[in-house]
Amino acid sequence: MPQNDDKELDSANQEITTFEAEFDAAMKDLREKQAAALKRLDDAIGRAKQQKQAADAAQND
Amino acid sequence: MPHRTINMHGEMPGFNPEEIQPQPEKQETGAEQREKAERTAERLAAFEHKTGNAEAEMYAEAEKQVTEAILKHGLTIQECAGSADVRRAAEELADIQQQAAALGVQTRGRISGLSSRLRSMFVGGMVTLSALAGAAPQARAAEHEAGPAPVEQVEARPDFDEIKQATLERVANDRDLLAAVGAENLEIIKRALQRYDARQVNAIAARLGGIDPARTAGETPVEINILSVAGARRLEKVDSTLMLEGVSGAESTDRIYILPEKRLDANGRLTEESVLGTLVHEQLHVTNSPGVSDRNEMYATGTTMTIHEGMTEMLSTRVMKELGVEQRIQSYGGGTLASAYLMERILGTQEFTRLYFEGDMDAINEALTQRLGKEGANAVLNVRMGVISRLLGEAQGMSTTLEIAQRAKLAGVDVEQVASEAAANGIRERIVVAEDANMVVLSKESLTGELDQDIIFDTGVHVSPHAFPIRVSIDTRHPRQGVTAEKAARRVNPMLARTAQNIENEYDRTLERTPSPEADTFFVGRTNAFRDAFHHVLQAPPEIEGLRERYKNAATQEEKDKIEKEAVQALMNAAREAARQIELQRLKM
Repeated sequence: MPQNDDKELDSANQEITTFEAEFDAAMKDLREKQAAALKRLDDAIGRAKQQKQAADAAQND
Repeated sequence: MPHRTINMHGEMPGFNPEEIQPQPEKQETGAEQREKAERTAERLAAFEHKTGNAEAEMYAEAEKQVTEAILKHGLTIQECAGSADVRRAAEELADIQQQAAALGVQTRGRISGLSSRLRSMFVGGMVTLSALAGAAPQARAAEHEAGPAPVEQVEARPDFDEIKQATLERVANDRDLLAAVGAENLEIIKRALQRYDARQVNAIAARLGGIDPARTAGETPVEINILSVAGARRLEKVDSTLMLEGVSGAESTDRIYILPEKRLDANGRLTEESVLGTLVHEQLHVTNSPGVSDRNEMYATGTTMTIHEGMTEMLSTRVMKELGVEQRIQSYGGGTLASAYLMERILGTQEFTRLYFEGDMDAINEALTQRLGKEGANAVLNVRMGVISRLLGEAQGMSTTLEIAQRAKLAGVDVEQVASEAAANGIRERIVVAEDANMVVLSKESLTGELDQDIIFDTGVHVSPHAFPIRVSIDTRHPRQGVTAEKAARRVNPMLARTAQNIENEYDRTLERTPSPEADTFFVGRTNAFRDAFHHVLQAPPEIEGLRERYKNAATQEEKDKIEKEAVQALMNAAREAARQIELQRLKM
């Protein structure tokens, strides 16, 4: 293998390391955003349930 | 340049001078270089695998948590979807998933670029870079490393006749059910129940699949619950079934829950075939259940739900035919049944049935790979239909159908012909595959006599070389929330003219994009990225509303067929026009 190819391999490995670090950081950020969004969805479903209970109660009255 | 070597060994305990010492520039041997290249290729393959896994894990986690949240609060999916608050939160989640999908695509693009560079370095076969060649299949295979779900120990089931008799007695004395469906329908339920024989269903299914009848013979339910909605709500256990199926379902492995109330037609009537069809469908879940013991997991992965429910309904249709019952209504529209029908035609009824009872995605993957190639099987099985997208009324079921149609076409199947023969093959949904398998239109009559239609069109337009292709879809059942058809009609052309640019911008901003109500209004629907395509959901064209009205009031089947064809044409025209506008915009860019 020519020396240039060897350097190219090193460079490719370096790029993989960089891309992977960027990917990991972006995924971490998205996971955090998702956890917060899931909490909001849970709260929203809780409110929907309360509204339904209120509507059911009004209907029964 | 001479290299200075300082022997530091032993001078600093725990310190490895190799890590910092300048090393002599040595010419690596061919074997070492090959090994290095292979290691690099393996790193790339592992990285690619990781991107897919990370995205899938996020998705599965969200689906699981949303499912649990809905269960915890005891609401149905429809009740949740009726809350603007819930939809907003679900939109936010879908947007995050879109960002994750886009990140995956972007990263895999980078990986692909590096792979090309590596390959170009080794033209001439110095190294084969086997890891690169196998990256995608490895990623898929790794998902199945865990193997099929463990087969549960099936305890001896109680006598089926006794179970059925007990159910008949409960039904006869269920005042809630009587109040919900009326005396006449209650008699229909009892007649359907009397006709239902789990052992007979299992024997037919085994014969259809060419499998040992002993495999299915003992799989009878331990409970059959035929309930009113009000009665079902009082049963905590049934909630997941109600919420996720919306109509009925088999909870866990061996209990059947049926809600005939949900099967009333526009005149408040039940049919025996409809109740029996539901019982047979759920019975097949019971028979199949050793392979799919965890329904929540099944729904969380999405893929399995689309494929599995479609296969169940498809097989149910085949069993019903053997029982001599013609089904007027089949469950699972929106692409789920159509996908299974195309799969059944591609694989053959026997293999399709056998695979269903193996209950193993590996086996399905392998069989599809033989017919459609590895890439084709992956494309089909990667399409998802999870609980979040159901909250938002999205079109992943249609995507599965489109993927199967396209991949079957590539594999040399005359899929247009197969689709046109659906009616002759017992499918009540009309399936039209057109534009060289780039367009699928489904039409079916709902229980209440409505004409329900879906269309998906792969426009083949990439707004930029690195953007996803754009798929346009319309679901006539679900007018988009907050945007009326009239508004959409006025806005449709300017909207489409700007769509391409907006999608391009969205792609470029994908990592920092935050959702905004304005953006959703602007799109008159939503644009979603799911792995390999943008899905642009359009409002139905304005004439559809009138056609649906005419269909509902049509006096004869002939008239209905004519109106349905007109509606299919209207949807096709709308999708083609959307594609044309997007393409025009692309040319201007």
